[in-house]
Amino acid sequence: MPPTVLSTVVEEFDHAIPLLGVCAGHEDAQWRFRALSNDLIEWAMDWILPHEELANISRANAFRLMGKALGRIYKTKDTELRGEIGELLLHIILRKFLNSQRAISRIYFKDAANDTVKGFDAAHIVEIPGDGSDGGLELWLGESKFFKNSSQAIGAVLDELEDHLETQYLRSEFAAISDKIESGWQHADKVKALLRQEISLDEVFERVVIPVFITFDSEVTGRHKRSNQAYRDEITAQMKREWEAFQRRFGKRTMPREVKIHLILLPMATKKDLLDAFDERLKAWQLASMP
Amino acid sequence: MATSIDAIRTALAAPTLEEGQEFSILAGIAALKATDGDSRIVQDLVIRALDRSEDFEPEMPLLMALARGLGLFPYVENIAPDLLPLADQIALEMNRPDNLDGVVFHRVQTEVYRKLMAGENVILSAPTSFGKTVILDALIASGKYNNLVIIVPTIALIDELRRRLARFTDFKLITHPGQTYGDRNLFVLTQERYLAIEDMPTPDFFFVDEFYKLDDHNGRETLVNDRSELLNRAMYRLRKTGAQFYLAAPMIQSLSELLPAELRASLIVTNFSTVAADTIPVTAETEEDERREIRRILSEVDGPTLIFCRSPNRVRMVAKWLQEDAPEGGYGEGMPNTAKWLEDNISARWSLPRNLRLGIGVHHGRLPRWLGPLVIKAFDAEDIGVLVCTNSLIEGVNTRAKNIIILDKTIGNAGYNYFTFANIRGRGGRMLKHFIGRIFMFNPPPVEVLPSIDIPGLSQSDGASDSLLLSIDEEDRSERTRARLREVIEQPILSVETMQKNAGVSPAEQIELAKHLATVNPRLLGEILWTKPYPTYKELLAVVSLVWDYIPPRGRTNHLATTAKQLAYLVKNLSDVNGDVRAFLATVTERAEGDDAYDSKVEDAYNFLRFWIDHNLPARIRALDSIAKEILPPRGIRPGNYEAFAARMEAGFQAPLLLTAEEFGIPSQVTKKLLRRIPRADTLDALIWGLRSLDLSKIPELTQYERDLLDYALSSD
Repeated sequence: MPPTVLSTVVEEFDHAIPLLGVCAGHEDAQWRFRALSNDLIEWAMDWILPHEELANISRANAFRLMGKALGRIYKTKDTELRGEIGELLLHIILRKFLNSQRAISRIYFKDAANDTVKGFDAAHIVEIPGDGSDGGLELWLGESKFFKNSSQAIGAVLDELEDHLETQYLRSEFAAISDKIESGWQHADKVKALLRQEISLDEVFERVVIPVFITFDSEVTGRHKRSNQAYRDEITAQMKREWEAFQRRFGKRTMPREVKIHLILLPMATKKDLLDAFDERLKAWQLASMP
Repeated sequence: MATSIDAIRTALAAPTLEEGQEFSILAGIAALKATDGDSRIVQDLVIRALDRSEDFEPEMPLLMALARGLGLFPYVENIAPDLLPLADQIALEMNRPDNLDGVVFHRVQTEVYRKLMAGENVILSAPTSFGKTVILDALIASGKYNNLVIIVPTIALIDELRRRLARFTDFKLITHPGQTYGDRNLFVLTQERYLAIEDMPTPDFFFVDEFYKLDDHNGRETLVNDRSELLNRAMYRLRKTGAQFYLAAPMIQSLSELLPAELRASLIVTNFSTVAADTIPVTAETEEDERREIRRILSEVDGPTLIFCRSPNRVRMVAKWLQEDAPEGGYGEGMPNTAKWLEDNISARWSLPRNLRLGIGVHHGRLPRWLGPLVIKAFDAEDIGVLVCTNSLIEGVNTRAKNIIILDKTIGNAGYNYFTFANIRGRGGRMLKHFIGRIFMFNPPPVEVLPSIDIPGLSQSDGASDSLLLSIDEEDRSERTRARLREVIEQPILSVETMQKNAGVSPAEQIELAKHLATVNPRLLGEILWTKPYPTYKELLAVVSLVWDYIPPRGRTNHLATTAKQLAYLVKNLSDVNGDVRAFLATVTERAEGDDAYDSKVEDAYNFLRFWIDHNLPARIRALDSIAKEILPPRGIRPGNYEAFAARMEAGFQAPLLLTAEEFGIPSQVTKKLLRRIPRADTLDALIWGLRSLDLSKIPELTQYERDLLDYALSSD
C-alpha cells in the first residue's frame, strides 16, 4: 500500500456513531494540499484496479498508463473528477486507517422502480480482530460527500441514507461484483458465504457498516500555518462539533432501520486548493504521457 | 431466483426473459463469480448475457460491471462504456495498446501485451477466439521494432496478414525472397521462404503462428512432416539471432520438459475465451442420415455455417448433397462471376463453379491458389452461406462462423483428438459479432487431453530427425546429438556441407544416393548429365527416378503419380504446355468417366501441382544436383546442372512470377494477358508496381470480373 499524508486527529470509537477525524496537516506554512493531491495519484491504481489486474503492472508503467487513459477520457468526454475524488479519499482512509480489504468492487441493487442502481460509493471488507481465525467480518458500504459546506454535506448524506436504507430497497436483491477471492485468504469462505445469492443483504445487515465520509472547507485548517498542538486542539473541537451536529440531525430522522454508521471527517483549507493541485498534476501528466 | 449454473443458462437461452427475472440472472452470475472457482463457466454466462444485452436495458450498468469485472473490455466498449463508473472507464482506457486506434484489449491480452512490451518472450496458448494476432499488430504499432519476422503456416495466411498489416506504412512488407528491403521491414513468410532468404537484416522480433506445428509427429517418434522439420530449422535460426519472440497456438497443455527452462518459463496458458459455445449432438448412422441431418440443421440455423470433413473427397460428397438439396435461391448470393470465370478459363464440367453459384463454398488444399482467399472473403461477407472444408481451414485461415458442423471423426490425417476438436469448436462464434457459436457434432467429443509440445530443433530430442540435427550448429549440439550424428558425419562419401544444404532430406538417404553415384557404371549415368531447361522425357525420367528411389519426399505416392514414370510423364506434360492449367487438366481428366470421377481428377491435378511442382520436386532435384556435383567430378565425369529446369518448375513452367502473383489473388491467366503491357519485371515488387501503374479500364482484353479481381488484389485492404 502506498503511504499517505493523512493522519488521525481524533478517534472516538466507543459510541453509537463512532468518529474518525483525519487531516493532511501543514507544510511550508500552509495546508498540505499538494501532498494530498499526490496521494490521490499514488492511490489511484489501488482504487481503479482489482488486485489481479494490479499484480501485472509496474509502478512506473501504471502512471504512464493512467496519464494516457485520463488524457483520452478528458478529450472525449466532459467528465470531471469531482465526486470521484471523494470516493478515492474514502478508499484511502478505509484501506489505511480501518485496514479494509478489497474483495468487492461494487454493489448494485434493484430498486423499487425495478431500475438497477449502483449502491454506495465504496464497498470494502473490514476484519474485526477476534479470537484467532474467528474474528468477525464487516461489510463496509461507504457514502462520500466531497463538499465545501459541512452542514449541506450532512443534509445530503442523510437524504441519501434514507433513500438507500428504505426497507424495500434493502430487502430487494443485490449483486456484488467481487474481485477474485484468493482461496488462501483466511476469510475467503466467509466472504463467499456473504456473497451467496441466497442470502439477502437484509439478513446480513447486522454485519454491515456504513462509513459516512464528509469533507468540508474548514476555516480552522486554513487559518493555521502549522499542525501544532494548538491546531490539533482547535480542529478536534471543530470536528467534534460536526460529529454532534451529525448525531443530532441523524436522531431527528427516522431511518427505516437500525444501521451502524461510522462518521469520517476530513477538513480541508479549501477543496478548491486540492482540486486545482490535482488538475495541475493531471495536466502535466497527460502532457508527459503523450506519444 | 436463478442460482444454479444450469438455471441461469436455461433462463438465458429462453426466447424471452421472464418479467422481473433479469436482475436475478445477473445477480446470480455475480454470486457465481464470487463463489465459484471455474472462471470459464462464469465467463460463458456473461457472454451469453451480453449476447442479448438489449433484454437487460435497465440492468445495463450491472451487466457492464460484470463484463468489466471479467476484463471483457471490448464488449463493454462496444455496448455501453458510458455506464461504467469513472474508475472503470479509466481501467478500460488502460487496456488500449499504444498507437493502435480503435482497439481495446481484454484483460489477458493486456497481460500478454505488457509482458512483450517489457521485452519478455511469450509463448501463448489460448483459445481460437482470444485475439492473438491483434497483439502482434500492437507490437508493430508500438514502433519499438525495426525488423519483424512473422512465420505463418500457409501462403493463404501470408495474403491475409499482408492485407492486415498494410496499414503499417512505416514498414516495407516482405512476403517473398528477392524483394528489396526498406529501413524497417515486416517479413511475412512461411518457414520455407524464411529459410530461402539469406541476407536478411537481423530481426529484433519474431512471431511464429500456430507453433504447435513444430511438433507435428502424429503419434510417431520422430517428426513425420517435412514442413514441420523446416519450421524447426527456422525456429532454431531465428532464436540464434537473439531477437525477442512471441509464439502463439491454440490450447496446448505444456511444453516438453526437454526444452530449456527459460523457454518453458515464457509459456502462458489461458482458457480466456471471448465467445460462448453450444454443443449439440447429432445422430446419424448412415450417409443418408448424415445428408438428412445436414439438410435439417441448415434449414434451422441462421448465419454462416462451416462443415468440417475428413478429406477433399468427403468435401466433394457433401458439396454434392448440398447442391442437390439446395433451397430456392441457394444458400446465399453466391459467387456467380467467379463461377463464370472458372467455367471459361478452367473447366465448365467441374462442379465447383456450380457450387459457387449456389452459395456453397469449398476449402481444401486442392484448389487454385488465388481462389481460396476469395472464397473465404465471400464467406465472411455471407455471399457464401455454407463452407465445406477440411483441416486446411483450421490450419491456414482465420475465418469463423456462427454455426459449425463437425461431420467426421477424423479430420485430415490427425485423428480426431481433443486439440483438433477444441480448435474447430473455437471457430464457432466471433467476438462482438456472433457471441455464441453453435457446434453440431456427429460424433461424441474426444476425451479432454491437450498435447505437450516439444520443439525438437531446440530440445534435440528423439523427435528430431538426423537431417534436423545436422542443421544445428556444431557448438550447439548436445552430447547425444553428437553421438547420433557420428556415423553420418564421419562417413567418407558425402560432405557434411552438402547434406546440410539439402534441408529436410534425410542424410542417410543422401549418403545412399551418393554411394550409388560413386559406384554406378558411368555409361548408365548418361541420361542425367544434362543442363538444359527443357529436358527430354528420358532425361527427365532418369533424374526423377533417382529422386523417387533415393531421396523421395514423405508420402510420395499420394499425389496423383504412383511411380517415377508417371511422375516424369506428368511433369513433362506440364512442361510441354508451359504450365497451362487448362491443358494439363485436360490430360489428367482424359479418362475420367462420370462427373464425380472428373471432379476427383481435377482435385488430384491441383494436389499434384501443390505437392510436387510448387516445392518438393524442385527442392529434391536441387539436392540431387548438389550431390552429383560433389561425387561425379572426382570420377572424371562432368555433372549436369538442373537449376534452369528447377527454376522453371518452381514457376509452374510459366513465365516467372505468374504463380507468385496468384498469391495476391490474381490468376496467372490474367497476369499473362498484362505482361506485354508492363516493363519486364524480375522481382515481385517490380511486377506489382507495373500492374499498379496500369489503367485497367483501358485494357480491352480484360473482363470486368478480371478488373475487379485486380483491383482487389492490388489494393492493400
